Amino acid sequence: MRKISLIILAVIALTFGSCRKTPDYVPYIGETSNLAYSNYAEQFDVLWNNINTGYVFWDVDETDWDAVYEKYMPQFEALDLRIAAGNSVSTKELQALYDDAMGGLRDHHMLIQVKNMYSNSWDNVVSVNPANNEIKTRDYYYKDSHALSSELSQFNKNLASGSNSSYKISFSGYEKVNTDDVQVTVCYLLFELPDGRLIPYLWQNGYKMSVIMSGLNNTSSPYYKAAQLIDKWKNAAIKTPKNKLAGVILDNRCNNGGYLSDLNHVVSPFIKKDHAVISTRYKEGPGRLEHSVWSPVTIAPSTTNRDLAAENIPYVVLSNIYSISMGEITTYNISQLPTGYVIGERTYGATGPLLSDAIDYTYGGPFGDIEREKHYVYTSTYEIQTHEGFVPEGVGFTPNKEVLTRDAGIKGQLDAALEYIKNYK
Amino acid sequence: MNKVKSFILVFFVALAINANAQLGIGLKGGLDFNSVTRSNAGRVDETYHSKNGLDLGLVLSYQVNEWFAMRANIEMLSRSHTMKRNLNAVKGIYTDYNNQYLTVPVMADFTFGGTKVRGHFIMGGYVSYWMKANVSGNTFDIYDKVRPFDEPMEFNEYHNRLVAGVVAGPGLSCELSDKISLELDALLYYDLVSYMKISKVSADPRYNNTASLTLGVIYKL
Repeated sequence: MRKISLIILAVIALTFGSCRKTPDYVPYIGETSNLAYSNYAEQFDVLWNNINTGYVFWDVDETDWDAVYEKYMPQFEALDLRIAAGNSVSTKELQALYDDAMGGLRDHHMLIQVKNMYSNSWDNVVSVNPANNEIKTRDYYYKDSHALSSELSQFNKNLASGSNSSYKISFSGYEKVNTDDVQVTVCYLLFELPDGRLIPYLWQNGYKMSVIMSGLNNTSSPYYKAAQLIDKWKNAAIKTPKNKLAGVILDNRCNNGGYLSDLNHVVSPFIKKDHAVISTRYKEGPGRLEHSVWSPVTIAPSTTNRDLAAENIPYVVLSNIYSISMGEITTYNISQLPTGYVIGERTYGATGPLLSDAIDYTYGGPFGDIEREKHYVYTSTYEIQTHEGFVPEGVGFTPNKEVLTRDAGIKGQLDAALEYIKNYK
Repeated sequence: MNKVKSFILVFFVALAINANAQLGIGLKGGLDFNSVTRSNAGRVDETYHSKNGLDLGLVLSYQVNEWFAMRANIEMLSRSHTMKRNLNAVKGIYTDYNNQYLTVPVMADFTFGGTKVRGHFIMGGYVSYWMKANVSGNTFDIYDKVRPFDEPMEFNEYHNRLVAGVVAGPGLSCELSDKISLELDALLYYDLVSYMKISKVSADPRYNNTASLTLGVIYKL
């Protein structure tokens, strides 16, 4: 049968083979380091191709990527002609072109960096950050990330030091800790309501708990003090008797994200059975919509845990426009617990997890090297979908109760959370 | 699809005006064996492998004279394949694409040889509609844990569900009686339309090639 079909296939292929479309050369996603380029058009071509094949959000991104190529390639070719004629091309000009071409992509983790290869200036790198462009268009945009984060940090520092007398706080701690790549601030507060009930509150500006908690029992570890604060929050939430515990607060405002495994620290202690409300998928081929199947992200209960739902204890998350990545994934996971509740603002929308050095088997994720290859693209490896089929990338998660920073301020959002817990039945 | 309808209409009109010709209807069933032709465009490590499936269908035969007949089938072809990952990091990851294509070939059937057992050479064209697909295999989750899966595949805007191509192959028929004959066909369906839409800027076409071996029973009306 195979022989016959091979003979027939050969005859048909010879006769009709030319009726089939000849494929173009498409570089595979990890191939960029071998693709030397010497002009702006080739540089754009490499970036376009790699985003074309490796970008994980083509199912939800409305950018007409073919049209981007057709519109901008002639413009990059025109820049090359100018260089050939002995003129210069400024980085500012290149920045404007790349911003126009790629600044509207949906990936909110995305950072596209391109070196102006004909400029010797120290400031010759173009940086395109699509999320920065998008969040400024939101009607509740208030301040830039740095300004708001500093304000929140100072507010919590004041609470921890006791200099804000608006609240009764039984215990407090505020620590800055350097993890492998960033500095994280951890603030633990134990609020006491007028009726004597307690509310353990935790704020961090990044999710590095998996690293920090490695220093829990090691007094010489640089993580020890921060780990102690996190542990106190967990213990207060798990071990405080029901009649003394009014609720639990996790503050994800201005949280830049971090490790996915931190779900084990903020969700696992508060469930009795597996919790799977999001799934992920990765690219599994160069076609724009060639994805793997969705796989659930299952969170198992901790060995020491408390079923907040069974005891009807509210678990409130505070979110804002700068609740980013894990700052959003944790928010959504908790919101789907029976007593989970989110107060604040719609989150940032950078929800696709990233893996570095995995491009060959996931097709997507960060690629390039700004020094060696003159380009670098930081982009998601995985796409996330909720159990309701919603892809939050570029949109973020909407809180159960909207309390905007612009209107209520940082304090107003915290007050709303405390009030919700105080009146919770 | 309109072209196919017109062709079938012309076929039946021709049938109606040739009163001496003989019409036969029948059933056929057997196996299909599908492979995918795809370039290496943009691929890292995936390889595409042939997969067997079932071929079931109805046969309509119109014997014009002793050596020539027209045939039109309505078949459900599997046209499946397997994609395997080969990098060490993802060894064991694969997807079986178990498809169902409603395929309508219209073919010229040239008959030669003896009286009871006769040889055929069949050739023509077809349209094939990708009705549904199921995917099964192994994937890895975000924790790098291998996870088996088996679920319906969702079609998207890049899938080209209606394809067309040419079909040809030999056959053998055996007259069991004046009215009934057995037909053994070995046909190759060669797609000329990619089952994935082709981008204007970066073409990465993929074509199915399906060999089918079926045994049919034809009843002459």
